[in-house]
Amino acid sequence: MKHADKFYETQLNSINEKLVKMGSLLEKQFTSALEVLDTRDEQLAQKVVDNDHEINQLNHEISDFVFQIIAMRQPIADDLRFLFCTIKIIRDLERIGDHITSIAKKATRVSKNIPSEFTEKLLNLGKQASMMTHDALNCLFEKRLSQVAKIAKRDDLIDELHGEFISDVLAYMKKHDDFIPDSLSLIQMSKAIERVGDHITNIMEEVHFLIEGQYSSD
Amino acid sequence: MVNAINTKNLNVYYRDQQAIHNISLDFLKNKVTALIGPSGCGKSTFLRCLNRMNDVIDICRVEGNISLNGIDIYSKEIEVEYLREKIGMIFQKPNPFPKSIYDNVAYGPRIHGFTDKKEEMDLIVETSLKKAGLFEEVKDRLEDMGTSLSGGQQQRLCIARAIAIKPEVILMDEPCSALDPIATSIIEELITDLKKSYTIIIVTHSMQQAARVSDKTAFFHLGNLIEEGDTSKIFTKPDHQKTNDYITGRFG
Ligand SMILES: Nc1ncnc2c1ncn2[C@@H]1O[C@H](COP(=O)(O)OP(=O)(O)O)[C@@H](O)[C@H]1O
Ligand SMILES: [Mg+2]
Repeated sequence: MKHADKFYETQLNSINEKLVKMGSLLEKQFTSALEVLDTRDEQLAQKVVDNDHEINQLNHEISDFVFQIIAMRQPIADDLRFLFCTIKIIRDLERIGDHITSIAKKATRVSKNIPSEFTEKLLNLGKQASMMTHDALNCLFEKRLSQVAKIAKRDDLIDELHGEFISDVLAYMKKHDDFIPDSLSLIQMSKAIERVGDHITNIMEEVHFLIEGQYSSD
Repeated sequence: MVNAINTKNLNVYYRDQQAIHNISLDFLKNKVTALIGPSGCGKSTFLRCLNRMNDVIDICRVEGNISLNGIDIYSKEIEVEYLREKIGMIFQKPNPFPKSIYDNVAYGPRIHGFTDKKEEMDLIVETSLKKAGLFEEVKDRLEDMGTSLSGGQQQRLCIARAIAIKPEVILMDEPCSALDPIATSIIEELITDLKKSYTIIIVTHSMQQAARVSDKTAFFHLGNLIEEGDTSKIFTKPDHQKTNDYITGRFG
């Protein structure tokens, strides 16, 4: 049902639209960053860096807007839960944006001669995280409670893959001195992806609160 | 937790029009309960049942059980005068008698024969005005007309008048709707103070006011009780969609 006050309705809708926009920008950024990892395309990497400003900008715009609405409208019930969660979710989205940007930057610095299995493993890890991001955003916009815990649980797989990747890289690095700088970059990228998983988990907690009015007990 | 008032299967009709549909709702002692809902949903009708104010409306018929401290308010043991003494009422528009401030407060105790000693009556008036947070403002002009006070002061005078006859429950029907924000917050603070001694049931159209002053909230819609519960729950995650839609200002 729509709010009797049309202006209020418009304000809330526009926050939702901005949130959707932030989410879809983020997904695009993620795809581009993984492409950079695959191709070492420096121009694309620069584009990712540039686009990150837009995500930061949206973060501030949404914050300001939510702040205004709270002051002017004293929202309650599902409106309040939506605004409260939005404020927390955009923080996580913004941080995910930073991690994605750092992946794109680091990817251009990794030499092309590293064993392809590392690139492949990292790409696979990145895909897991980007799919998780995609599903998390859908879950947020469609408010599907049944999906919340399942999506959050996928962070375990990311952690696991990240752990394995680090051991593989370290083992290889011990035997190849000249590989040390690249290893560092690979480890940092893997870590960045692992952090994305953590932020998605935070977001799923917020989605649970948005729908249920309380945080999940587990 | 003790209930001051219990209502069970309450049905109220104005001629053949049903205004209240089978409502069962209890009110905790020393708590503030807010009744909310769109205009015409039956809040005032329900409130008036609690001290049998509907008795005076010819076309009004009340069915069901209402008890005060476990005693049926329609039973022979309870006289209407006694009931109104125990359950006071404050209205939307402050309605002081066209008498002095002093006499407004002393009126009830006098007709109920609380005392005929001047000093005792002085004390009742003073204590009641103090409890209503009005004494300091009017102590030097107790002989002035009650109607000469500001709106907010008049409403507090009405509260003092209600308190003077030592009620257990105070019913308030939109007590702040005619008041400015400052007078409103003074009354709201007073309500929080008064609940230590009284059980308060307040009808309000302001969601913020219900959220600020009440412990419990009941949502009425078309004469039905849709939902009741802790105010903090109702205003953050109500169980019913209708409640959510109403309090957030959606069509319905
Ligand atoms: N004295 C009355 N005579 C006839 N109908 C009445 C009377 N008082 C209220 N009603 C009707 O009962 C319904 C509930 O009214 P009311 O209790 O005043 O609602 P609220 O206080 O929630 O605005 C409305 O339909 C109203 O028209
Ligand atoms: Mg009314």
